[in-house]
Amino acid sequence: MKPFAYHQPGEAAEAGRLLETHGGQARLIAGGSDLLGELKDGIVHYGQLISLSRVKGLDQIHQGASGLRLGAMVILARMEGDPLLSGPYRMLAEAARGVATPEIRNQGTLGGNLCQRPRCLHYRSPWVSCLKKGGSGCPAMESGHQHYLSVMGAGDCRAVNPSDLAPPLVALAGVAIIDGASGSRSLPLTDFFAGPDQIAGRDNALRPGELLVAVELPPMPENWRGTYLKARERTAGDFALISAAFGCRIEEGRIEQARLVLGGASAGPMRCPEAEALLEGQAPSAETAARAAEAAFADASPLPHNGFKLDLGRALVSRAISQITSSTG
Amino acid sequence: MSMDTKRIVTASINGAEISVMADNRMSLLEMLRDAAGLTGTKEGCMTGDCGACSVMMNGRVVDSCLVMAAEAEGAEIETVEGIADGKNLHPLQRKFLEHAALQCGICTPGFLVSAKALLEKNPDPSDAETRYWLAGNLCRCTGYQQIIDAVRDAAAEMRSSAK
Repeated sequence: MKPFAYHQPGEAAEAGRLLETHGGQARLIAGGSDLLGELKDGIVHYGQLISLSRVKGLDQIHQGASGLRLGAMVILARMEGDPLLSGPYRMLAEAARGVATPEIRNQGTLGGNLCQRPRCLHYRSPWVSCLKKGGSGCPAMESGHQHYLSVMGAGDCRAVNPSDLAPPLVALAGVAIIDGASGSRSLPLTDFFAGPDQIAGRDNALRPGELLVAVELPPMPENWRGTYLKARERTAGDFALISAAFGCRIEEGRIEQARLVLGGASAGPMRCPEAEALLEGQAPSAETAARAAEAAFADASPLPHNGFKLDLGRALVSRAISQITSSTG
Repeated sequence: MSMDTKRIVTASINGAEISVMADNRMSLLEMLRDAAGLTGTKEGCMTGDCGACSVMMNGRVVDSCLVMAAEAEGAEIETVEGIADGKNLHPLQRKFLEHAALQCGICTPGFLVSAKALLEKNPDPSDAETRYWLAGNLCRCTGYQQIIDAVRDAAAEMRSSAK
Protein backbone atom coordinates (compact mmCIF):
# COMPACT_ATOMS: atom_id res chain seq x y z
CA MET A 1 0.00 0.00 0.00
CA LYS A 2 1.21 3.50 -0.81
CA PRO A 3 0.96 6.12 1.96
CA PHE A 4 -2.24 8.09 2.40
CA ALA A 5 -3.64 10.77 4.66
CA TYR A 6 -6.49 9.53 6.86
CA HIS A 7 -9.29 11.94 7.73
CA GLN A 8 -12.00 11.35 10.33
CA PRO A 9 -14.46 14.24 9.93
CA GLY A 10 -17.31 14.65 12.40
CA GLU A 11 -19.88 16.02 9.94
CA ALA A 12 -21.14 14.82 6.56
CA ALA A 13 -20.66 18.30 5.07
CA GLU A 14 -17.00 18.25 6.10
CA ALA A 15 -16.59 14.83 4.47
CA GLY A 16 -18.13 16.34 1.33
CA ARG A 17 -15.72 19.30 1.42
CA LEU A 18 -12.75 16.94 1.76
CA LEU A 19 -14.05 14.89 -1.16
CA GLU A 20 -14.43 18.01 -3.26
CA THR A 21 -11.01 19.38 -2.32
CA HIS A 22 -9.14 16.20 -3.15
CA GLY A 23 -11.19 15.07 -6.17
CA GLY A 24 -10.10 11.75 -7.66
CA GLN A 25 -7.36 11.41 -5.04
CA ALA A 26 -9.94 10.93 -2.28
CA ARG A 27 -12.13 7.99 -1.39
CA LEU A 28 -14.62 7.45 1.42
CA ILE A 29 -14.07 4.56 3.81
CA ALA A 30 -16.98 3.19 5.86
CA GLY A 31 -16.47 -0.32 7.29
CA GLY A 32 -13.48 -0.77 5.01
CA SER A 33 -14.09 -4.44 4.23
CA ASP A 34 -14.22 -3.82 0.47
CA LEU A 35 -11.84 -0.88 0.11
CA LEU A 36 -9.02 -2.36 2.19
CA GLY A 37 -9.02 -5.46 -0.01
CA GLU A 38 -8.60 -3.24 -3.07
CA LEU A 39 -5.85 -1.16 -1.45
CA LYS A 40 -3.93 -4.21 -0.22
CA ASP A 41 -4.13 -5.89 -3.60
CA GLY A 42 -2.88 -2.71 -5.25
CA ILE A 43 -5.95 -2.42 -7.48
CA VAL A 44 -6.57 1.18 -6.50
CA HIS A 45 -4.66 3.89 -4.73
CA TYR A 46 -5.94 7.03 -3.04
CA GLY A 47 -3.81 9.69 -1.41
CA GLN A 48 -6.66 10.70 0.92
CA LEU A 49 -9.01 8.36 2.76
CA ILE A 50 -12.01 9.97 4.40
CA SER A 51 -13.45 7.84 7.15
CA LEU A 52 -17.15 8.12 7.96
CA SER A 53 -16.83 6.39 11.33
CA ARG A 54 -16.90 9.65 13.32
CA VAL A 55 -19.65 11.37 11.32
CA LYS A 56 -22.57 11.88 13.67
CA GLY A 57 -26.03 10.53 13.03
CA LEU A 58 -25.29 8.10 10.21
CA ASP A 59 -25.73 4.93 12.26
CA GLN A 60 -29.43 5.31 13.08
CA ILE A 61 -32.49 3.36 12.00
CA HIS A 62 -35.48 5.64 12.39
CA GLN A 63 -39.18 4.97 11.89
CA GLY A 64 -41.16 8.10 11.07
CA ALA A 65 -44.47 9.06 9.48
CA SER A 66 -42.82 9.16 6.05
CA GLY A 67 -41.40 5.66 6.41
CA LEU A 68 -38.19 4.05 7.52
CA ARG A 69 -34.81 5.79 7.34
CA LEU A 70 -31.66 3.68 7.41
CA GLY A 71 -28.39 5.54 7.99
CA ALA A 72 -25.51 4.72 5.67
CA MET A 73 -23.28 3.66 8.59
CA VAL A 74 -25.74 1.16 10.06
CA ILE A 75 -23.78 -2.09 10.20
CA LEU A 76 -25.18 -5.18 8.50
CA ALA A 77 -25.17 -7.16 11.77
CA ARG A 78 -27.65 -4.66 13.18
CA MET A 79 -29.88 -5.02 10.13
CA GLU A 80 -29.95 -8.79 10.70
CA GLY A 81 -31.81 -8.42 13.95
CA ASP A 82 -33.30 -4.93 14.26
CA PRO A 83 -36.97 -5.13 15.35
CA LEU A 84 -37.89 -2.35 12.88
CA LEU A 85 -36.86 -4.61 10.01
CA SER A 86 -39.91 -6.83 10.31
CA GLY A 87 -43.14 -7.27 8.35
CA PRO A 88 -42.65 -5.76 4.87
CA TYR A 89 -39.05 -4.88 5.72
CA ARG A 90 -38.08 -8.36 6.90
CA MET A 91 -36.56 -9.11 3.50
CA LEU A 92 -33.79 -6.62 4.37
CA ALA A 93 -32.85 -8.60 7.47
CA GLU A 94 -32.83 -11.77 5.35
CA ALA A 95 -30.55 -10.14 2.81
CA ALA A 96 -28.20 -8.84 5.51
CA ARG A 97 -27.96 -12.34 7.02
CA GLY A 98 -26.69 -13.69 3.71
CA VAL A 99 -23.82 -11.22 3.36
CA ALA A 100 -20.26 -12.51 3.80
CA THR A 101 -19.43 -13.67 7.37
CA PRO A 102 -20.38 -12.61 10.93
CA GLU A 103 -17.07 -10.70 11.22
CA ILE A 104 -17.67 -8.76 7.99
CA ARG A 105 -21.31 -8.06 8.94
CA ASN A 106 -20.03 -6.49 12.18
CA GLN A 107 -17.87 -4.11 10.11
CA GLY A 108 -19.66 -3.71 6.81
CA THR A 109 -22.22 -0.92 6.54
CA LEU A 110 -25.36 -0.36 4.50
CA GLY A 111 -23.74 2.49 2.57
CA GLY A 112 -20.58 0.52 1.96
CA ASN A 113 -22.57 -2.48 0.83
CA LEU A 114 -24.40 -0.34 -1.75
CA CYS A 115 -21.25 1.47 -2.93
CA GLN A 116 -18.86 -1.52 -3.01
CA ARG A 117 -16.93 -2.19 -6.20
CA PRO A 118 -17.64 -5.14 -8.51
CA ARG A 119 -16.32 -8.67 -8.03
CA CYS A 120 -15.35 -9.23 -11.67
CA LEU A 121 -12.13 -11.25 -11.38
CA HIS A 122 -10.44 -9.03 -13.94
CA TYR A 123 -11.27 -5.88 -12.04
CA ARG A 124 -9.97 -7.52 -8.85
CA SER A 125 -6.71 -8.67 -10.39
CA PRO A 126 -3.77 -6.27 -9.99
CA TRP A 127 -2.06 -7.88 -13.00
CA VAL A 128 -4.60 -7.11 -15.71
CA SER A 129 -5.78 -3.77 -17.01
CA CYS A 130 -9.52 -3.21 -17.50
CA LEU A 131 -11.97 -0.44 -18.34
CA LYS A 132 -13.19 -0.17 -14.75
CA LYS A 133 -9.63 0.54 -13.64
CA GLY A 134 -9.17 3.16 -16.35
CA GLY A 135 -7.55 0.81 -18.88
CA SER A 136 -8.45 0.60 -22.55
CA GLY A 137 -9.76 -2.94 -22.99
CA CYS A 138 -12.00 -5.48 -21.28
CA PRO A 139 -10.28 -8.85 -20.80
CA ALA A 140 -13.44 -10.31 -19.24
CA MET A 141 -15.22 -10.68 -22.57
CA GLU A 142 -12.61 -13.15 -23.84
CA SER A 143 -12.29 -14.97 -20.55
CA GLY A 144 -13.86 -18.08 -19.06
CA HIS A 145 -14.36 -16.27 -15.74
CA GLN A 146 -17.69 -14.60 -16.39
CA HIS A 147 -19.73 -15.66 -13.36
CA TYR A 148 -19.67 -12.19 -11.80
CA LEU A 149 -20.68 -10.51 -15.06
CA SER A 150 -24.15 -9.50 -16.20
CA VAL A 151 -26.47 -11.57 -18.34
CA MET A 152 -28.25 -8.48 -19.66
CA GLY A 153 -27.14 -5.13 -20.93
CA ALA A 154 -24.90 -3.72 -23.57
CA GLY A 155 -22.51 -1.41 -21.76
CA ASP A 156 -18.76 -1.45 -22.29
CA CYS A 157 -18.36 -3.07 -18.86
CA ARG A 158 -20.45 -6.07 -17.85
CA ALA A 159 -19.41 -6.11 -14.18
CA VAL A 160 -22.35 -6.18 -11.78
CA ASN A 161 -22.95 -4.45 -8.47
CA PRO A 162 -22.47 -7.22 -5.90
CA SER A 163 -24.70 -5.71 -3.20
CA ASP A 164 -27.19 -8.04 -1.50
CA LEU A 165 -29.06 -5.10 0.03
CA ALA A 166 -29.64 -3.28 -3.25
CA PRO A 167 -32.28 -5.62 -4.77
CA PRO A 168 -34.57 -5.66 -1.69
CA LEU A 169 -34.12 -1.90 -1.17
CA VAL A 170 -35.16 -1.28 -4.78
CA ALA A 171 -38.13 -3.64 -4.30
CA LEU A 172 -39.13 -1.50 -1.31
CA ALA A 173 -38.91 1.67 -3.49
CA GLY A 174 -35.89 2.96 -1.56
CA VAL A 175 -34.63 6.50 -2.05
CA ALA A 176 -30.95 7.43 -1.73
CA ILE A 177 -30.36 10.46 0.50
CA ILE A 178 -27.23 12.20 -0.74
CA ASP A 179 -25.28 14.91 1.05
CA GLY A 180 -22.23 16.86 0.10
CA ALA A 181 -20.38 20.13 -0.05
CA SER A 182 -22.97 21.62 -2.41
CA GLY A 183 -26.05 20.57 -0.46
CA SER A 184 -28.28 17.54 -0.25
CA ARG A 185 -30.58 15.79 -2.71
CA SER A 186 -32.52 12.57 -2.97
CA LEU A 187 -32.67 10.07 -5.78
CA PRO A 188 -34.71 6.88 -6.21
CA LEU A 189 -32.37 3.91 -5.89
CA THR A 190 -33.50 2.78 -9.35
CA ASP A 191 -31.64 5.86 -10.68
CA PHE A 192 -28.75 5.62 -8.23
CA PHE A 193 -27.06 2.56 -9.68
CA ALA A 194 -25.56 2.23 -13.14
CA GLY A 195 -28.04 0.89 -15.65
CA PRO A 196 -27.49 -1.83 -18.28
CA ASP A 197 -25.60 0.66 -20.46
CA GLN A 198 -23.18 1.49 -17.67
CA ILE A 199 -20.05 3.47 -18.32
CA ALA A 200 -17.11 1.59 -16.86
CA GLY A 201 -15.80 4.45 -14.75
CA ARG A 202 -19.03 5.05 -12.87
CA ASP A 203 -20.74 2.61 -10.47
CA ASN A 204 -23.45 5.00 -9.32
CA ALA A 205 -24.90 8.47 -9.67
CA LEU A 206 -22.86 10.14 -6.92
CA ARG A 207 -21.21 13.31 -8.20
CA PRO A 208 -17.78 14.49 -7.11
CA GLY A 209 -18.04 15.76 -3.53
CA GLU A 210 -21.18 13.76 -2.73
CA LEU A 211 -21.81 10.94 -0.31
CA LEU A 212 -24.67 8.59 0.43
CA VAL A 213 -25.90 9.34 3.95
CA ALA A 214 -29.11 7.27 4.20
CA VAL A 215 -31.74 5.26 2.41
CA GLU A 216 -35.40 6.11 2.98
CA LEU A 217 -38.17 3.60 2.48
CA PRO A 218 -41.78 4.76 2.01
CA PRO A 219 -44.43 3.08 4.18
CA MET A 220 -45.62 -0.29 2.88
CA PRO A 221 -49.01 -1.93 3.46
CA GLU A 222 -48.98 -4.05 6.63
CA ASN A 223 -49.64 -7.27 4.73
CA TRP A 224 -46.95 -6.79 2.06
CA ARG A 225 -44.26 -9.48 2.38
CA GLY A 226 -41.02 -10.08 0.57
CA THR A 227 -38.02 -12.35 0.49
CA TYR A 228 -34.49 -12.28 -0.92
CA LEU A 229 -32.88 -15.38 -2.38
CA LYS A 230 -29.27 -15.61 -3.47
CA ALA A 231 -27.35 -18.23 -5.46
CA ARG A 232 -23.66 -18.52 -4.60
CA GLU A 233 -20.83 -20.99 -4.89
CA ARG A 234 -20.48 -21.66 -1.16
CA THR A 235 -23.19 -21.45 1.52
CA ALA A 236 -21.32 -18.80 3.51
CA GLY A 237 -18.93 -16.01 2.73
CA ASP A 238 -19.65 -15.72 -0.98
CA PHE A 239 -21.05 -13.05 -3.23
CA ALA A 240 -24.22 -13.65 -5.22
CA LEU A 241 -23.89 -15.16 -8.68
CA ILE A 242 -27.45 -14.06 -9.19
CA SER A 243 -30.20 -13.08 -6.75
CA ALA A 244 -33.87 -12.21 -6.61
CA ALA A 245 -35.87 -9.95 -4.32
CA PHE A 246 -39.60 -10.53 -4.55
CA GLY A 247 -42.51 -9.16 -2.59
CA CYS A 248 -46.26 -8.66 -2.88
CA ARG A 249 -49.49 -8.75 -0.88
CA ILE A 250 -52.40 -11.10 -1.34
CA GLU A 251 -55.87 -9.51 -1.50
CA GLU A 252 -58.84 -11.87 -1.76
CA GLY A 253 -56.62 -14.59 -3.15
CA ARG A 254 -54.98 -12.37 -5.79
CA ILE A 255 -51.43 -11.05 -6.06
CA GLU A 256 -51.19 -7.26 -5.64
CA GLN A 257 -48.29 -4.79 -5.62
CA ALA A 258 -45.80 -7.34 -6.96
CA ARG A 259 -42.19 -6.20 -7.01
CA LEU A 260 -39.44 -8.28 -8.55
CA VAL A 261 -35.81 -7.11 -8.61
CA LEU A 262 -32.83 -9.11 -9.85
CA GLY A 263 -29.27 -8.77 -8.56
CA GLY A 264 -26.25 -9.98 -10.50
CA ALA A 265 -28.21 -9.94 -13.76
CA SER A 266 -27.59 -6.39 -14.95
CA ALA A 267 -25.02 -3.76 -13.97
CA GLY A 268 -27.20 -2.64 -11.07
CA PRO A 269 -30.28 -4.07 -9.35
CA MET A 270 -32.92 -4.53 -12.05
CA ARG A 271 -36.67 -4.27 -11.65
CA CYS A 272 -38.72 -6.56 -13.87
CA PRO A 273 -41.92 -4.66 -14.81
CA GLU A 274 -43.11 -7.29 -17.34
CA ALA A 275 -42.88 -10.07 -14.78
CA GLU A 276 -44.60 -7.89 -12.17
CA ALA A 277 -47.43 -7.11 -14.62
CA LEU A 278 -47.90 -10.82 -15.32
CA LEU A 279 -48.34 -11.51 -11.62
CA GLU A 280 -50.64 -8.58 -10.83
CA GLY A 281 -54.19 -9.72 -10.12
CA GLN A 282 -53.37 -13.42 -10.61
CA ALA A 283 -54.14 -16.24 -8.21
CA PRO A 284 -50.86 -17.69 -6.92
CA SER A 285 -49.79 -20.91 -8.63
CA ALA A 286 -46.60 -22.67 -9.65
CA GLU A 287 -47.43 -21.94 -13.31
CA THR A 288 -47.86 -18.21 -12.67
CA ALA A 289 -44.53 -18.12 -10.83
CA ALA A 290 -42.78 -19.97 -13.67
CA ARG A 291 -44.26 -17.59 -16.28
CA ALA A 292 -43.03 -14.59 -14.31
CA ALA A 293 -39.58 -16.16 -14.03
CA GLU A 294 -39.49 -16.67 -17.81
CA ALA A 295 -40.54 -13.06 -18.37
CA ALA A 296 -37.86 -11.74 -15.99
CA PHE A 297 -35.13 -13.20 -18.19
CA ALA A 298 -36.84 -12.80 -21.57
CA ASP A 299 -34.41 -10.08 -22.66
CA ALA A 300 -31.28 -11.84 -21.41
CA SER A 301 -28.18 -11.85 -23.57
CA PRO A 302 -25.73 -13.98 -21.57
CA LEU A 303 -22.03 -14.15 -22.31
CA PRO A 304 -20.51 -17.43 -23.55
CA HIS A 305 -19.61 -18.56 -20.01
CA ASN A 306 -22.42 -17.27 -17.81
CA GLY A 307 -25.61 -18.63 -19.38
CA PHE A 308 -25.94 -20.92 -16.36
CA LYS A 309 -27.02 -17.87 -14.38
CA LEU A 310 -30.30 -17.78 -16.32
CA ASP A 311 -31.35 -21.21 -15.02
CA LEU A 312 -30.26 -20.29 -11.50
CA GLY A 313 -32.08 -16.97 -11.73
CA ARG A 314 -35.35 -18.42 -13.02
CA ALA A 315 -35.28 -21.03 -10.26
CA LEU A 316 -34.71 -18.35 -7.61
CA VAL A 317 -37.52 -16.16 -8.96
CA SER A 318 -40.02 -19.06 -9.06
CA ARG A 319 -39.03 -20.13 -5.57
CA ALA A 320 -39.25 -16.61 -4.15
CA ILE A 321 -42.72 -16.05 -5.65
CA SER A 322 -44.01 -19.42 -4.45
CA GLN A 323 -42.55 -18.90 -0.99
CA ILE A 324 -44.17 -15.49 -0.53
CA THR A 325 -47.52 -16.20 -2.17
CA SER A 326 -48.02 -19.45 -0.25
CA SER A 327 -47.22 -17.91 3.14
CA THR A 328 -49.08 -14.59 2.75
CA GLY A 329 -52.74 -13.73 2.76
CA MET B 1 -1.57 20.85 3.43
CA SER B 2 0.96 18.65 5.14
CA MET B 3 0.33 14.98 4.92
CA ASP B 4 0.31 13.38 8.35
CA THR B 5 1.01 9.73 7.79
CA LYS B 6 1.39 8.66 11.42
CA ARG B 7 -0.63 9.12 14.57
CA ILE B 8 -0.75 7.92 18.14
CA VAL B 9 -3.55 5.44 18.74
CA THR B 10 -4.68 4.63 22.24
CA ALA B 11 -6.97 1.67 22.86
CA SER B 12 -7.92 -0.62 25.71
CA ILE B 13 -6.53 -4.04 24.90
CA ASN B 14 -7.69 -6.83 27.23
CA GLY B 15 -8.37 -4.15 29.82
CA ALA B 16 -4.98 -2.42 29.61
CA GLU B 17 -4.66 1.00 28.00
CA ILE B 18 -2.03 0.83 25.27
CA SER B 19 -0.75 3.62 23.02
CA VAL B 20 1.15 2.93 19.83
CA MET B 21 2.60 5.05 17.01
CA ALA B 22 0.63 3.88 13.99
CA ASP B 23 1.25 4.55 10.31
CA ASN B 24 -2.06 5.42 8.58
CA ARG B 25 -1.73 2.16 6.65
CA MET B 26 -1.47 0.07 9.81
CA SER B 27 -4.30 -2.38 10.44
CA LEU B 28 -5.58 -3.24 13.89
CA LEU B 29 -4.00 -6.67 13.36
CA GLU B 30 -0.57 -5.12 12.77
CA MET B 31 -1.11 -2.80 15.71
CA LEU B 32 -1.80 -5.79 17.97
CA ARG B 33 0.99 -8.03 16.69
CA ASP B 34 3.79 -5.67 15.70
CA ALA B 35 3.24 -2.65 17.93
CA ALA B 36 1.68 -4.16 21.07
CA GLY B 37 3.53 -7.51 20.82
CA LEU B 38 0.33 -9.52 21.16
CA THR B 39 1.07 -12.25 18.63
CA GLY B 40 -1.74 -14.58 19.72
CA THR B 41 -3.95 -13.04 17.02
CA LYS B 42 -2.87 -14.59 13.72
CA GLU B 43 -2.40 -13.25 10.25
CA GLY B 44 -4.01 -15.50 7.65
CA CYS B 45 -5.27 -14.02 4.41
CA MET B 46 -5.16 -10.29 5.26
CA THR B 47 -8.35 -9.83 3.19
CA GLY B 48 -11.11 -10.79 5.63
CA ASP B 49 -11.73 -14.25 4.20
CA CYS B 50 -10.25 -16.54 6.85
CA GLY B 51 -11.02 -15.07 10.28
CA ALA B 52 -7.64 -16.03 11.81
CA CYS B 53 -7.33 -12.40 12.97
CA SER B 54 -10.77 -12.26 14.65
CA VAL B 55 -10.82 -10.03 17.74
CA MET B 56 -13.54 -8.31 19.74
CA MET B 57 -13.86 -4.59 19.12
CA ASN B 58 -16.41 -2.72 21.28
CA GLY B 59 -18.24 -5.99 21.90
CA ARG B 60 -18.38 -7.21 18.31
CA VAL B 61 -16.16 -9.78 16.63
CA VAL B 62 -14.34 -8.29 13.63
CA ASP B 63 -11.55 -9.21 11.23
CA SER B 64 -8.70 -7.09 12.62
CA CYS B 65 -6.91 -7.18 9.25
CA LEU B 66 -9.75 -5.08 7.81
CA VAL B 67 -9.87 -2.48 10.58
CA MET B 68 -7.58 0.51 10.32
CA ALA B 69 -5.58 1.08 13.50
CA ALA B 70 -6.83 4.69 13.42
CA GLU B 71 -10.37 3.37 13.95
CA ALA B 72 -9.28 1.62 17.15
CA GLU B 73 -8.71 4.97 18.88
CA GLY B 74 -10.68 4.81 22.12
CA ALA B 75 -11.95 1.29 21.40
CA GLU B 76 -12.12 -1.69 23.69
CA ILE B 77 -10.28 -4.60 22.11
CA GLU B 78 -10.28 -8.17 23.40
CA THR B 79 -7.91 -10.73 21.92
CA VAL B 80 -7.23 -14.42 22.51
CA GLU B 81 -4.69 -13.39 25.17
CA GLY B 82 -7.58 -12.13 27.28
CA ILE B 83 -9.68 -15.29 27.21
CA ALA B 84 -7.98 -17.37 29.92
CA ASP B 85 -8.26 -16.35 33.57
CA GLY B 86 -4.59 -16.22 34.54
CA LYS B 87 -3.36 -19.80 34.27
CA ASN B 88 -6.88 -21.22 34.18
CA LEU B 89 -7.97 -21.92 30.65
CA HIS B 90 -11.42 -20.83 29.51
CA PRO B 91 -13.80 -23.81 29.03
CA LEU B 92 -13.58 -23.25 25.27
CA GLN B 93 -9.80 -23.54 25.37
CA ARG B 94 -9.96 -26.76 27.43
CA LYS B 95 -12.59 -28.28 25.16
CA PHE B 96 -10.55 -27.43 22.05
CA LEU B 97 -7.69 -29.45 23.59
CA GLU B 98 -9.95 -32.34 24.71
CA HIS B 99 -11.63 -32.64 21.32
CA ALA B 100 -8.37 -32.14 19.37
CA ALA B 101 -10.12 -29.25 17.64
CA LEU B 102 -6.88 -28.02 16.14
CA GLN B 103 -3.92 -29.30 14.21
CA CYS B 104 -1.67 -26.52 12.94
CA GLY B 105 -3.33 -24.03 15.29
CA ILE B 106 -3.28 -20.93 13.09
CA CYS B 107 -7.08 -20.66 13.03
CA THR B 108 -7.52 -21.45 16.74
CA PRO B 109 -7.24 -17.95 18.26
CA GLY B 110 -9.83 -16.64 15.80
CA PHE B 111 -12.16 -19.58 16.46
CA LEU B 112 -11.85 -19.07 20.23
CA VAL B 113 -12.70 -15.37 19.96
CA SER B 114 -15.65 -15.99 17.62
CA ALA B 115 -16.92 -18.95 19.68
CA LYS B 116 -16.73 -16.92 22.88
CA ALA B 117 -18.73 -14.13 21.20
CA LEU B 118 -21.29 -16.70 20.06
CA LEU B 119 -21.72 -18.26 23.52
CA GLU B 120 -22.11 -14.85 25.14
CA LYS B 121 -25.01 -14.18 22.78
CA ASN B 122 -26.42 -17.71 22.68
CA PRO B 123 -25.43 -20.08 25.50
CA ASP B 124 -27.08 -23.08 23.82
CA PRO B 125 -26.44 -22.91 20.07
CA SER B 126 -27.64 -25.74 17.85
CA ASP B 127 -25.25 -27.42 15.45
CA ALA B 128 -26.59 -25.27 12.60
CA GLU B 129 -26.37 -22.07 14.66
CA THR B 130 -22.79 -22.86 15.66
CA ARG B 131 -21.80 -23.41 12.04
CA TYR B 132 -23.60 -20.24 10.96
CA TRP B 133 -21.92 -18.02 13.56
CA LEU B 134 -18.47 -19.54 12.96
CA ALA B 135 -18.75 -19.26 9.17
CA GLY B 136 -16.21 -16.45 9.13
CA ASN B 137 -13.46 -18.68 10.49
CA LEU B 138 -11.75 -21.12 8.16
CA CYS B 139 -9.88 -24.25 9.27
CA ARG B 140 -7.95 -26.27 6.70
CA CYS B 141 -6.94 -29.10 9.07
CA THR B 142 -9.82 -30.44 11.13
CA GLY B 143 -12.80 -30.55 8.80
CA TYR B 144 -14.65 -28.50 11.45
CA GLN B 145 -16.48 -31.35 13.23
CA GLN B 146 -14.12 -31.36 16.23
CA ILE B 147 -14.42 -27.57 16.47
CA ILE B 148 -18.22 -27.68 16.48
CA ASP B 149 -18.13 -30.49 19.06
CA ALA B 150 -15.71 -28.55 21.27
CA VAL B 151 -17.81 -25.37 21.15
CA ARG B 152 -21.06 -27.16 21.96
CA ASP B 153 -19.42 -29.21 24.70
CA ALA B 154 -17.96 -26.04 26.23
CA ALA B 155 -21.41 -24.42 25.99
CA ALA B 156 -22.95 -27.37 27.87
CA GLU B 157 -20.31 -27.18 30.59
CA MET B 158 -20.73 -23.41 30.95
CA ARG B 159 -24.50 -23.81 31.20
CA SER B 160 -24.28 -26.44 33.94
CA SER B 161 -21.67 -24.50 35.93
CA ALA B 162 -23.82 -21.36 35.67
CA LYS B 163 -26.70 -23.13 37.43
